[in-house]
Amino acid sequence: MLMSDKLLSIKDLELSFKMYEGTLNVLKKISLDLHKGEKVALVGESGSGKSVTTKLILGLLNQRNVIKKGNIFFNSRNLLDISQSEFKKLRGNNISIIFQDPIAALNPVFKIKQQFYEVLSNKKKISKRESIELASKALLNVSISDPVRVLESYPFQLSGGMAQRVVITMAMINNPDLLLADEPSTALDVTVQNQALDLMDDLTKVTNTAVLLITHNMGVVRRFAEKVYVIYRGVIVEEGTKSQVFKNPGHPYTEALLQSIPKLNGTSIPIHNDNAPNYAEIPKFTHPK
Amino acid sequence: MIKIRDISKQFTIKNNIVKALSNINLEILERDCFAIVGESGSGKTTLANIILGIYQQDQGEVLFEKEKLTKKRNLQLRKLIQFVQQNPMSTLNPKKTIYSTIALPLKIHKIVEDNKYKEKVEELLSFVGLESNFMDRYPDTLSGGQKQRVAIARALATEPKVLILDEPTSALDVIVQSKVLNLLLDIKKKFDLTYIFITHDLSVVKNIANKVVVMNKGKIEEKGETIEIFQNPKSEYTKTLIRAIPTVTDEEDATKP
Repeated sequence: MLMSDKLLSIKDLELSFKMYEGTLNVLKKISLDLHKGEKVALVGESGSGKSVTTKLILGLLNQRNVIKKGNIFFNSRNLLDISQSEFKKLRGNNISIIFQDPIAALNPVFKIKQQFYEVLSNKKKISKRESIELASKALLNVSISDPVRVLESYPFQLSGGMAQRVVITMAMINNPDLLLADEPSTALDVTVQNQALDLMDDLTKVTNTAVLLITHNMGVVRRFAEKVYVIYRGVIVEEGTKSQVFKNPGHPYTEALLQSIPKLNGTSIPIHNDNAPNYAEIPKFTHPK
Repeated sequence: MIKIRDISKQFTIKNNIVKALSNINLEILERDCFAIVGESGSGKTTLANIILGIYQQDQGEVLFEKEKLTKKRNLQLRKLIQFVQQNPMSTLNPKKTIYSTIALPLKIHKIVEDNKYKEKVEELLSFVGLESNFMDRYPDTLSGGQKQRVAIARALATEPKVLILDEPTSALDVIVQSKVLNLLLDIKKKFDLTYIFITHDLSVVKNIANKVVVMNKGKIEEKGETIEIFQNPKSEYTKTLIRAIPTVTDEEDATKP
């Protein structure tokens, strides 16, 4: 892949929160690259810093106690330097996001059609009727057979799987360059989970949208991503292609993570080493490109 | 040990009748690790709530060693069936120390004499791998895995025979999950317990349960020995469920139906 294809490039990103008790270092010099149309997973346990990374990319961490260092280049612009009004143009148009809980991601007091209008009108001036037409076309496209009913519904009237379809469609309707998917399938049943992942896969292929998948589920990573970054306590511990990371994990943390997952062909719960080393202190393992 | 005969339960929500369970028949034997699996809304938690006496079934009966289990039941019966629930954040009272959380069932069920609570709590904590200095702490200072250990210690306090585990590890990270599951297996052996293990995670079931019932929309889709169900699933629904499991190795994929 050419260097010029680089869409998102995170360089030595540091994040800390100033707290009453002292400073809490959340991200410690993380670097991550994402090319156009590429599907990359950032995988880690709770508290590892994966969700704050998406928040930084979207410019959502601006509280006074937040200290940011390093660079986040998106299409060669540093996202840590741009203003909130510029972010407003980026969000939903160039970068969009899917959250874990689809019902919570939608505004409970507005009908789906109004929420589509909000997204669409952010990109260009559009009439309400046009937005309904565009939205129902997009919903038909994701095999929702009765888009009119869905558009006239409030979020609580939709099932979890249906709501996630709506959210994914909404995130993709402006053909963004980058889709951030923060645990997009965690709240769903396994069968619906696969449908949601397939849908993300299909839609992003058409528009050549890159995806940064944030998850704790290695199974989901294996199903969806091409490239994998493993994060542990604010440090990237391993980087490689999907087959490299799953077939030959190079960092002891990745190994422990993969080993701890109960296997479908197994007969007992894996035993985790109680005297495990501090994984964050073991240097990062980068697989050859 | 527990016989479930022809249980049905329905809920009425705004004039709509939802059939949560229809004609469920199950038999759970002593020392079983009996898994109830299904997607959300399949009725697995409703079934657990009926066994626990939180709901009263509309039809059918639950027998515990020949005694009928209804919603109204005496302390002796309550003592024998205990419960560990899913969310470690909401399962413990945030205003109570770990000591008073675990001592409460000891007091209610008069498990030990009044002056021996402290020793007993200490002992229970040691069973779940926590040190005695946890007694004075509050739940918000504990990690998810530690909270779940406390919940297990509290369930063990009444010296039960049956533990109902409702998604005990689905809110935990995988490494912590493997530790808590191994702890549950150790405790099961040590105290000769019977487990009713409710989960949506079939990979966990494969590795922990000896019997499985697959539920779908309030009905039993399939039941039997774990090995049998995973090697020769008969129902299409079970096959779909097993195929949908996200796996991490090629060897696992090869065993899918």
